[in-house]
Amino acid sequence: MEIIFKLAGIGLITSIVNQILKYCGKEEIASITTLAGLVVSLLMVINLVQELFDTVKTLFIF
Amino acid sequence: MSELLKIVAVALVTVFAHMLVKQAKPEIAMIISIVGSILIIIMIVDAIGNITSSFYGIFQKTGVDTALLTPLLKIVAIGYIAEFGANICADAGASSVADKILFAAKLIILMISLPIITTVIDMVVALL
Repeated sequence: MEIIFKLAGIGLITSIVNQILKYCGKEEIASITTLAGLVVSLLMVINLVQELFDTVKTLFIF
Repeated sequence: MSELLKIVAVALVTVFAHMLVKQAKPEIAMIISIVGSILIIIMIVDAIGNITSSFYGIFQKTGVDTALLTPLLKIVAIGYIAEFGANICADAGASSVADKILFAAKLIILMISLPIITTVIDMVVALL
């Protein structure tokens, strides 16, 4: 359940950091931070997806 | 009944977080909706376990050999996973990709059910 809040936090923080960096004129670092935020949230999702597929496999006796 | 309330609560929180992050970062909003749907499934997964085990019990009682049940369960699982992936792609707006997933899932289901069809046809031919 708390993973949803973590992801929402990551999304908001990356967008805020993005705005700040854009304001200071550092567009290239801003785009890199967006990528970083995306990669972190993707890593968090991958474990959940893997757990889901494992439970489905064990449940339906693949 | 109570887990239904929990599931609705989790779904609402997921939708709110999705809406919140949507203007700022649509990709992460997309990921939040995926995580929310996975959480809901994980909450209800033990009910599926009970259903499959009771199916096994019914099959053993009625004397039908359980070899028939495994492809049936496999087809249900494939249908579910394909629908899960297709809905995520449709959410993201890529409805053509969603249709491809469903098309592939239908073919896989047909491939799995072929042996059963052949056994039934053999039985019918043997009767004639």
